[in-house]
Amino acid sequence: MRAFSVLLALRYLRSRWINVVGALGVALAVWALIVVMAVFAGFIGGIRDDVDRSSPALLVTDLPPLQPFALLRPAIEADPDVLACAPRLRQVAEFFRRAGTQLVEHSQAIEFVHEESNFVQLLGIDPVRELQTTRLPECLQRAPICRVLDPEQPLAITDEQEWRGRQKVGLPVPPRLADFRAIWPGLLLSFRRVRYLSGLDAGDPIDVVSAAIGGPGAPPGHAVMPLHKVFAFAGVFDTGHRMYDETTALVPIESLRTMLGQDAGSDDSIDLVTDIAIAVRAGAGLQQVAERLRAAVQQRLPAGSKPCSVLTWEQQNEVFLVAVGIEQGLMKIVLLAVMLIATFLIYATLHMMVMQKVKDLGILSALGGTPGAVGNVFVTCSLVVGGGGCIAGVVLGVLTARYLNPILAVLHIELFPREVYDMPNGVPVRLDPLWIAQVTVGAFVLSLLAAWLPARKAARMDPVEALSYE
Amino acid sequence: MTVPVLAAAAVHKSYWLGRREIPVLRGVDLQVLPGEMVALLGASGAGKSTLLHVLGLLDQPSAGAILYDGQPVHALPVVQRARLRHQHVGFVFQFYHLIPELTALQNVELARMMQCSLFGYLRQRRAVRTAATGLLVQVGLGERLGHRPSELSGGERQRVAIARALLARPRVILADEPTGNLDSATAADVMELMFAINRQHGLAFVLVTHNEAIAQRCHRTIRLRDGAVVS
Repeated sequence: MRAFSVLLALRYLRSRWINVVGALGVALAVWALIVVMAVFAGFIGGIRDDVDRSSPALLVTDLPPLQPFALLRPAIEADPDVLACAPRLRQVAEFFRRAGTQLVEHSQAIEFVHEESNFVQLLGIDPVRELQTTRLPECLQRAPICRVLDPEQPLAITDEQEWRGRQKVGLPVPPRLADFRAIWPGLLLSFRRVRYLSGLDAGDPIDVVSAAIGGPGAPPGHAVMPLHKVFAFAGVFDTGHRMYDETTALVPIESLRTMLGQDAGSDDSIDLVTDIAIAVRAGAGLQQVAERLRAAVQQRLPAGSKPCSVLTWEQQNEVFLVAVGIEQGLMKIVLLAVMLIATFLIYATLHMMVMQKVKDLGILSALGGTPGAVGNVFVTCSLVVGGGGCIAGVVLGVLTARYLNPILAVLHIELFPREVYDMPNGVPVRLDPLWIAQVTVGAFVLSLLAAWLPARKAARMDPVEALSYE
Repeated sequence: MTVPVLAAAAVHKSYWLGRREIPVLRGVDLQVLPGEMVALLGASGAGKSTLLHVLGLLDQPSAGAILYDGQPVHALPVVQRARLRHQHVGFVFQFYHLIPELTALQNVELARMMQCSLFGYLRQRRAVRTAATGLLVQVGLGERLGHRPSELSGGERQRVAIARALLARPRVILADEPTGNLDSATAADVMELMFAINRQHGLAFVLVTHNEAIAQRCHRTIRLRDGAVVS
């Protein structure tokens, strides 16, 4: 870079405040790119934490019907990278709450179909094993309304709870608590659903109704068997993953098996599973482990079975995570458009400057400036404007992101309404140094691009014509 | 025999207006010896300015050669021509052509920034400032270093332009009607300054002028008519 290119560029800029507009445009775009993406990254980070909390590292699924856990467990536990595995049983059901001796059906406003309808995905778990594969204790701790008595036995109901629950709905109970033994299995709902079930106490009965193909005596596939079982409300959980929380009720897996006709007491029953949750040693490659397990499990399945799947926690929530990712991508595009507009602003200003400075360009040539060095005057202008805007944007953006919550508090702005988003610690913000570096480099590159045409115009100017330009 | 510091050999220059060729220079031969002051006379449109531009490598001849110290230079690559223009010649224009954003001192200093890298320049900035100040004092503008061109009179501007042309220590000054835009008293002052510089620095001058009196004081007069030297 020749000395005159830089010094003249600085002089030109000093007498043209219009360039501040370009710098402000870049600063604004950079600021927005940093702040919005920091909030998005924090938001997505939170969502991924929530999803991670509700999902095991790996999940064996798409198993053929009527698979026993005992058959598959050895194949899974034989893998050196598997820490623990837990059986899971899924069954779609409808639940009803008793008011007095009557069942209550909730109003089904379409927009609250998850929370207020009676549909529920029953997830049968073995609490002891489940504790080893997912962050279940955390989910129980997070629930704000009421806590389960014993995190080790989250699905257990005390005699007193069930005794009071039975009394509450008018079921016959022995007069003395000491004579009563609890028999209802426990059921955990997320606090999101419980808020619509006012006055629900631990021990209150919940009637669960479902159906299954097959039944006593009928050959499989030839009859629909209605299923009914009474559970007792045992407490609430909260993974933070809204979709999961709104649809899922956790119950003991043995009770769900009993409901489906596989009572542990009978001789020909099996320890039925639909999925198997797996915890994997830290540092193991999830994809490789998943591939190994899939092969191992498939071997144990009856010949001719459809291929089963082993999904990583990200694959288990793929649609959801992809949707969030697309949102982030769209936001990036919008903000990059802002950046492009700022670049056009710089381009327009530079173009104007070249046209104003035609005579100067001739003078510079006459004094011995090479065409490249003459063009560099405008490249320098653009770099100073773009770079200045970029640095200002980065500083402001990082500060804004860092102190976003206090700033929002002072301005009384609620970025994410409390009714919709559950953010006890304010708006989550995650600054990614790599992203900041990318934005900075991008701003500089765009500034260079903005300077390209004006600089070329300046460099190609015929000095004789330029000197006689009026 | 002394090698001419600047020479033109059979220089032709034409412009194209659509498909019509307009010849401006038709075989100009010219030699300027070191320290020589040559006046270039001719009517408007005779090709004086074009010749000056071609001599200063701002424009390329259609045919013929330009020689600096006996070396042909007109066909060199653009970057080398720019360097030679910087080292070998200094321009003084009728309309001064100063950069309006810069002060008188900065306009003169600019001449030393043209071929220096930024850091190279910053290292010798004090020396350049001293030299530029010295030249401005020499042309009588010691009190006006910090003034912008818009705050200077025509004569003062032309003095700044002369100081600028001198800073890079060229061998030849190409002056295109340097007094054409000045009143006669100021013009006389500026001319005196140029003659003084010619004597003190031993610089060669090619001076385009209409003024016969000025031409008389030069060492040699060349008349240009319809793009050719007539005497």
